[in-house]
Amino acid sequence: MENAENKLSSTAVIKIDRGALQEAQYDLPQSYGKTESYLLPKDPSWMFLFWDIIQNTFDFVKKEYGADIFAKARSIIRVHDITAIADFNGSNSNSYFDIQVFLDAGSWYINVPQGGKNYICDIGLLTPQGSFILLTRSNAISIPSGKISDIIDEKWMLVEGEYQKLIQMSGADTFGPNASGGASEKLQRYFTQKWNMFGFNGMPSSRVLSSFSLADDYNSNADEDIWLQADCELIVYGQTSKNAKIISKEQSIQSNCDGAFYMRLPLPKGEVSIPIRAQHITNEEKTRSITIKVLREE
Amino acid sequence: MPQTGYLSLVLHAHLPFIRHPEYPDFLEEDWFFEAMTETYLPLLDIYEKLSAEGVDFRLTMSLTPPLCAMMSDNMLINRFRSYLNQRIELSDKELSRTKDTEFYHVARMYSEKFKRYRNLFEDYYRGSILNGFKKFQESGKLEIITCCATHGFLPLQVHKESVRAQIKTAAEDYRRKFDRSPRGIWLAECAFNPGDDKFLKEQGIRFFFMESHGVMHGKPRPKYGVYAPVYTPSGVAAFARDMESAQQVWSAQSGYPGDSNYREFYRDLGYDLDYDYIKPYLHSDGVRRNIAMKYHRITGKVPLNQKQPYYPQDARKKAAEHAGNFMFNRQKQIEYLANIITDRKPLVVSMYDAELYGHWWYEGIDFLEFLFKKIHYDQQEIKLITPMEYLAENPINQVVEPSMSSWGDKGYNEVWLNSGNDWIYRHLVKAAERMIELAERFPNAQGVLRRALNQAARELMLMQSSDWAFLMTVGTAKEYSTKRTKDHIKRFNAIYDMINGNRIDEGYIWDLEQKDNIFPEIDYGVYSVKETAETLKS
Repeated sequence: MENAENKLSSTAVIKIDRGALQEAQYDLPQSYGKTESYLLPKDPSWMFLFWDIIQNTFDFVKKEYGADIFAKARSIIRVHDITAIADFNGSNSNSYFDIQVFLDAGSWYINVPQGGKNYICDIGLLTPQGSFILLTRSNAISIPSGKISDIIDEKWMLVEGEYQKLIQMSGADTFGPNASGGASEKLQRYFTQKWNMFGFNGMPSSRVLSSFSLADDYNSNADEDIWLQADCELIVYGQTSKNAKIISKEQSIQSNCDGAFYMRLPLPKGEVSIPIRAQHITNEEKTRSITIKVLREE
Repeated sequence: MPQTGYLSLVLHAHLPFIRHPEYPDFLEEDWFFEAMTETYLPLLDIYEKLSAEGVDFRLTMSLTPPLCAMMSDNMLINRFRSYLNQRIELSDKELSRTKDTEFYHVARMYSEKFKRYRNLFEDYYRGSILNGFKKFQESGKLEIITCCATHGFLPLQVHKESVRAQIKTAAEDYRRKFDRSPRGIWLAECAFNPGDDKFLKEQGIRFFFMESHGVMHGKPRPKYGVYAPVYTPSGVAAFARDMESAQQVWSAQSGYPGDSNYREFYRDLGYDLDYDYIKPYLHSDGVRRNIAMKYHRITGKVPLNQKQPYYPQDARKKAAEHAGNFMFNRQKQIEYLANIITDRKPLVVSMYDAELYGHWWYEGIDFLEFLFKKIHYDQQEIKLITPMEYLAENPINQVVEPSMSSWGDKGYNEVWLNSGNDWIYRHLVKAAERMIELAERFPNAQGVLRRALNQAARELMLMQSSDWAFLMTVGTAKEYSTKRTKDHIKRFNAIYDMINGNRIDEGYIWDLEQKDNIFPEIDYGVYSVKETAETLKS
């Protein structure tokens, strides 16, 4: 596949233009000077929240709640299910759950308990007394259900057995988180088509590092027995030279302009080995490796 | 056998807007030249042939606004001319070099084809390939549909004004180019977000296409599965993709394009020929790359250096065989469906990237030609149909709210939203918010302010192209797609700061108008909050 690789390494610019290079060098704004957050849907199980909290907001909260409020309180994302609620006011959601976060992270992938619902996220502080201080509220989004609807229109019905045949033919059960699997191997997913065509052979790699939230309903009945659920995840971080890229388990990990990187990983029971390799961006021979081993016991 | 059902073929023709007047020679512009030479002109060539023979065919094609802009751009067309002329010159030289070798037939094929396409382009269509497509649209055989203005991925756009701008700008561009309103649209990546159909309705668009589970997971359950359109709550028809016919072409194991007689994509003359001989046909940096002339067939699972010579006649024979197989399978599929769906004729919608045909699967063009002929001459069971014709025959359809979906890996938004590209959304969302704010603040701008606002709208739309996030995910042309995203964000922010500081640099705006010249007649007023709210209320 020598040809393909050569094409892969081709650069965009044939003749280097000084002005263009300068333009590429100054980076994008780190902040747009406003405290805000936005929520995007990813699939029936996941959504993506990103935020920016500016200094004024920190100062204001400290002034209102005490200079040590950020040390005392936990910073959380409160994920509200607001399905069928038109005027959400922060406390009238169907249910919610909290995810503890570092405000510096700036973004988070959130695992949602149920598809087919509407969600909104509040980012704020949970005080030791249990009160919530709102820093920013996101937009509301709908998450797809990822399954065939139970709602049947009586005027538009087929006999159930016949309908099952149509479902099978449509391949609709091969999509989404509950997919029976095999569809991707079978079809090699069409979407890589176009770019494969232009001489590129790689399949997309899904390498989303994500959090597994406590996906439970907080609004449970006070009379019921108590419950507990806990999970944990792993944060790996470090820094490398600016002229190196970070690779872990065959996947490249995004690093900042100063070479700093971090990964959030699920941490299942048992031993997990996380190989981290820095590789020179042009000379693949030059590498440095560290492997971290973690044992989770319960 | 009487006619039992319908087949609707849909080709999605799209390339991102890549045009670099600031460089005399730009690698990624080749994507357009190659697609012109291997897909778009060859498709028109078979439409011409079929029409001349009296073969009645039906086809739906999206020609996206960025592609239409490139097809009608003088600079790119002139660069395409020199590209094609170079290929003709090389293929002529090749006729003498390969004389009395086993490669002579394939060298002659290229020489003849290149000349025929030049003739079609220059003499038939007078340098405007859109004229060719228009001609077949007017004859009723081809339904040309539009797409989101810059192939923006709608479910990841937070601001509805921005969604509306993608649809409205595209529809207006279509009206200018095709002298009528678009009746259909291809939502970029088939990505649908419930409610966005209102913006289609606002433009008079009657139908769009979805991935199969978008309709299958709709509410209520679609009675006919994906084998009949449904109406969204706003009354726009959604046609869903049939997976079976998709697999036949795309399957890695059993798909047609992998046949050993077909042309091998990766073995290219750009690497095979003597360096001094091939150098004039390479880019100005002199690096060996694919030049889209290939002399070998797939052969089998062997290394590139063991590929066998390509015989055009054998490959064409195989394409005819595959077309027959495809038709046979559709007949059987539709016959089976007609036993389940008894109160109307079922419809199978087969959707593909247009560039699959010709560019990647070189013989795909022959396949289509044979398929159209066989369906016309050899049988009665299935009939080709366009979505509008099907709706005319079946005006009453079930109302279903389709599910959010896309045709990307895993069926949703992950390809365009993952840790490799999620950093872009902070900027894309902000730019959209700022654009809306500008449109509110300056409802009737004139002069240079108006030009600055319109250019800001162009930069916003260009940064929204789904292609960039896609390329970051697949890791190909990652550097270029990252740079394009950043460039448009920076340009947008620079214009925004100039407008806010009341110090618009006309020279800077002029420069961007030359570089990012898509949609010359764009109106930034498309980002109106009021009009968007009215459409959503309707």
